[in-house]
Amino acid sequence: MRKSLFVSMGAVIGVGAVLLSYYGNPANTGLCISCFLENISGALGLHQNVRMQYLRPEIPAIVLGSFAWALWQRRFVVTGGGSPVLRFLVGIFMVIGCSVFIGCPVKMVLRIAAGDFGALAGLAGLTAGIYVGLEFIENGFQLGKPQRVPPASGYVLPGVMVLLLVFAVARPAFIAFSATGGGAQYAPFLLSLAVGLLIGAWAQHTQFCITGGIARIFLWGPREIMSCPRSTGLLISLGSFLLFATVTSMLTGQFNLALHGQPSSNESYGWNFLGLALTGFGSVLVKGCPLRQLVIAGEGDTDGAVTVFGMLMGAALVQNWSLAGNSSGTPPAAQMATVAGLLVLLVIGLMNRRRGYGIAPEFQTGLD
Amino acid sequence: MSQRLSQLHTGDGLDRWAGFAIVVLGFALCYLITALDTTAMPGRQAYLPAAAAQAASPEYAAKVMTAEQLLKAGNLDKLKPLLDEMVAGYPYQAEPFMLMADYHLRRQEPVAAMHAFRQALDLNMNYLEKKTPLYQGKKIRNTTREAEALINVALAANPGNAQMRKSREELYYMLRKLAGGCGD
Repeated sequence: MRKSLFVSMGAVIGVGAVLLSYYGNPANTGLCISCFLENISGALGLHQNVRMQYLRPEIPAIVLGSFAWALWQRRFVVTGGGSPVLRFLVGIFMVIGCSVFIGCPVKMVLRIAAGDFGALAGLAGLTAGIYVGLEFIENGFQLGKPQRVPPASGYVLPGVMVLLLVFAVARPAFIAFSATGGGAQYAPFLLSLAVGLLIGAWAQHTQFCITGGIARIFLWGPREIMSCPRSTGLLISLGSFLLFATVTSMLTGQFNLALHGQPSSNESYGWNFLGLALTGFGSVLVKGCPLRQLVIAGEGDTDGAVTVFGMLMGAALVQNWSLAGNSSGTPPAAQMATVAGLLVLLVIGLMNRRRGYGIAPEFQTGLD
Repeated sequence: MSQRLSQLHTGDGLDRWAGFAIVVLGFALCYLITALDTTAMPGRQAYLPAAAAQAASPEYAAKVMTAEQLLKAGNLDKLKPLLDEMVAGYPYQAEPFMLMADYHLRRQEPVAAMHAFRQALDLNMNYLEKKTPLYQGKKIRNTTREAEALINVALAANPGNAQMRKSREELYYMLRKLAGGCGD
């Protein structure tokens, strides 16, 4: 795959996400998988925070973009069976970790690109979590090799996403829409849809993944670079994302280099670190960041779809149990959930190790 | 399962390291559960019935009207005791805090006004919502900027000024609120 493709992936998501924020999405939140899942869960009535209810079209669009591109490229292969229940649980904790940081790894990059120094604590945490996760992967962690499953399963999540888009357009009475707060801030529907479709399709093509890109730093070595062009490619996409998002933030007047007073931030740097450490750790165990889970779910990976449903449930729990960070800091329940999440992931890691073995086959396919 | 447990028993370095981390996290979790007062977070929903009852009271409406008239007339000496009474008597209402902020603005006290705005915003974020008739974002933003300038000058003169350092923390909180973002 040509390097320019990886650069273009960074450009699509960097420019697209910052423009979404410029045209109406909340500040520094042009694209955030966890925030948007919280909005969607609220719109579906899974929580009652009236300021966080909106059927964000970006999430369905990413899944459908990936789905359409995979079909067109004949890469739509329906697989499953790789410990779906564990993935569901990890999906819940991934979103809890994101919410403690007030944003997923994509939003972390967007916050850094907008000049938010405080988000670097999240980057450090995400990197630490990825490192811990890779220790397990390199020492025999396994979820079970995915098998081909009946094709109908692969159409479930794209079908659900089509339904969500229909609801977003038709606005039936049972779907809630915020009148105030973050849920009431949104970019024009068609723009959100177009950017989401583009990101989904291109992320499917380049296999873009924030945690995957950072993981390559730890897996990097001369031999890997020689034999594994995608290793550098994921890092190129990540660097390109940061660069394009920074430039677009500057051009649209959204860049503010400062530690204090940033949108969607607080000064609980320690908990921000641990929050994204939880997300990074979980992402490595389920082979991809929250964005990547949406993309692989679109290309027929039913395990990814189960993780997405877990993330949606996690998003509802975050709002119902006050597990999200806010301007004043990290609530007590969020602190407990973060520590409990790290503990649970460590137990999952220990219980699913095959000692004396290296990287399991299902993870090797992601490293080719 | 028994095979897994026996493997754990004869574990390698990663097992030992992870086991140690699990123990530490377990203690940390127990500490958080016992030390943090989770009962102190019922959420705004719990206050809403009381707040709605207060807002519907004719006595409350009369006091708000009196306070607004005193403010318009510039009768600050009479206004202050009334506002103190309202703040104590109607703790779930944002309006008395907004009036208190206006009182401090009239007295050229932006730091105190910012403090009152913060209390009002914690009760009702709609004062920062352009889509609502309550919107007073420009006034809150300007007051926060004035408070920032005063706090910076005071801290430059005396970096150990504990009151101003506390006000600076509040200032950062207000700046984050004004910056917006999702969730708040």
